[in-house]
Amino acid sequence: MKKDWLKDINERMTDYEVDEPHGLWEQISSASNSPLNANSSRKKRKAWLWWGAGIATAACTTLLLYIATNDIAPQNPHLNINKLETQHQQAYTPVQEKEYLDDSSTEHIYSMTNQVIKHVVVSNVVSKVVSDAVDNQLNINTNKDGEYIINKEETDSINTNTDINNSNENKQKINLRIEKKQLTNKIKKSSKKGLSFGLSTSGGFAHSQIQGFPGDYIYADIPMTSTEWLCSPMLGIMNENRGIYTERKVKHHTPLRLGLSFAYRLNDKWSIESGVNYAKVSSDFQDGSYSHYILEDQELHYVGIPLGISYKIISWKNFDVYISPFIMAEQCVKAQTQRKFVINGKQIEEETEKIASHPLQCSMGLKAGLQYNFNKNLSAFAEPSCNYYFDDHSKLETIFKENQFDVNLNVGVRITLNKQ
Amino acid sequence: MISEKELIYLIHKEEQKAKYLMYKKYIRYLTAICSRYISCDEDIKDILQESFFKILTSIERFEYRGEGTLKAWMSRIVLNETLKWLKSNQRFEIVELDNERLDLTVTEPDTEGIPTDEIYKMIRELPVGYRTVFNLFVIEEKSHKEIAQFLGIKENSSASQLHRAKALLAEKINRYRNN
Repeated sequence: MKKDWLKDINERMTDYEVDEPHGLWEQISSASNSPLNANSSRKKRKAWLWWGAGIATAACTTLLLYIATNDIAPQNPHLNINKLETQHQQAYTPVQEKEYLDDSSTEHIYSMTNQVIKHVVVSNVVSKVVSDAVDNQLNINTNKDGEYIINKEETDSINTNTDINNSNENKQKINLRIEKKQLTNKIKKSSKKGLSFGLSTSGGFAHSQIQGFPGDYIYADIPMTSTEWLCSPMLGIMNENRGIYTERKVKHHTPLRLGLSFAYRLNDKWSIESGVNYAKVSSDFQDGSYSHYILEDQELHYVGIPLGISYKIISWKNFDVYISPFIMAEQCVKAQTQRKFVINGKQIEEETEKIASHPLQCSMGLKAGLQYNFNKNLSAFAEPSCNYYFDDHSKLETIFKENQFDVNLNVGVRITLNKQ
Repeated sequence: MISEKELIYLIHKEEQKAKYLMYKKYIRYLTAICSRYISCDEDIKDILQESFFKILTSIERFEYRGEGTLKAWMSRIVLNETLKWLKSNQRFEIVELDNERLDLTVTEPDTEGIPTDEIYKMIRELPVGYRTVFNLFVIEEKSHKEIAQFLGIKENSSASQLHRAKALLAEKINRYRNN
């Protein structure tokens, strides 16, 4: 049967092939080196511009979010030290000091290193005794008359010349002169309104007897034999705060995290994600009273590795929307605290101490993300995530312990491997 | 022979050799498409170069949907470039044949035994207007409406061009057979 000739021509011509024109590939190649490459160069420049814009946007957004949200300050007043039912006031005021110190002793020497200011309230008089705990072993005893005597054993020390009336009158006058010489000082024991104090050589506060007049003065009874607290600003502050309402303030800053994320695409919908993160976790602590306190700035530096699996819910043009459960392990690699000791509102000492505890912080969470794909390998993302932080079994106070559940927003760039 | 899937994978990996492999795999087929419409070899070369340029710059946007889809995609690009060239460079010649010479009553010729190369030559020998419509209708299987849109002519013109092309080609086939 004769085949339809048009159908026959159709079948023959459908897969028909002929030799290509001579030199065509060379022509295509040479065109590739200019127009094609120029085009790809333009594309590459465009890609870099988008990349740069994406990174800049992500960095600015991260910075803005950090600045806007770093004032997490859960008030956690606890560790009330020496909270008293009696009225609390500051121990003395500089005005009072000036009133009762004569010209020869008007030096107000605040402690520098290894010195502690003690405020002695004798009746209505404030006297200061500055002792150098490093060079001296100061013993304060009472003589048979009940006078307090500070015996200095070393030459290079501070002595005070005092001239205190041994009077039971409320008002007394103390001439206080502070200089580096060696002498024995006598400080008259106060009346019932005066201050009795003592130093303990064994360290710490052996005893504390609190007396106070409503609204004005705080009387403290300091153990007589201990001097160890003199070499420790912390103990000095605690001493100053005896009988004073103190509180502990905690301020946890929002962790600053920077990281690089990698994704390995399993298929069109699923991919595995990992990467490396750096996190800086800062907390501020203030222990003490209004005038005498210790400021601690705790900084923990973590390096972490997240691991998660991502499911792409929808893809539209260059945008992807996905959801991703994940876990993360962050190892603290550096921890330190900086302490500032403040007495009477003035910083007397500062120290930096490395924290030995380097905990491993584990967490898990769920995030949903919006991703913009610059090209097949590079994309920028914004991910709100809900996280739960496991107890790291350390004694450190961190925001992770304060808020075990939290919600945050991550932004960044992602490199995708083997995108099909 | 490398499959289309492997070829696309290599091209997406930006393997330089992949482009040449793709060229070698399909250039003869694409040349045949273009040369059915264009008779001048230099014009064919230019059109294929432009077509390949477009193929290579847009290959990343191509979505592979199975074996043969890459070939079909490339052939569409070549066809479009060919028609664009025809529209911009040449008027479609409406050949008014001498009615005495042209037997408008087309008797279907017998193409059995006639080499495909010869049929290919005969098609290329048709006037440009006739062969364009003939190729689009018979081989690309477009409707007259689509052809009219492609070429910017009326549907009636497309139909009459086809009729005349068939008649002329049939005459050529019969003459070949008789010789």
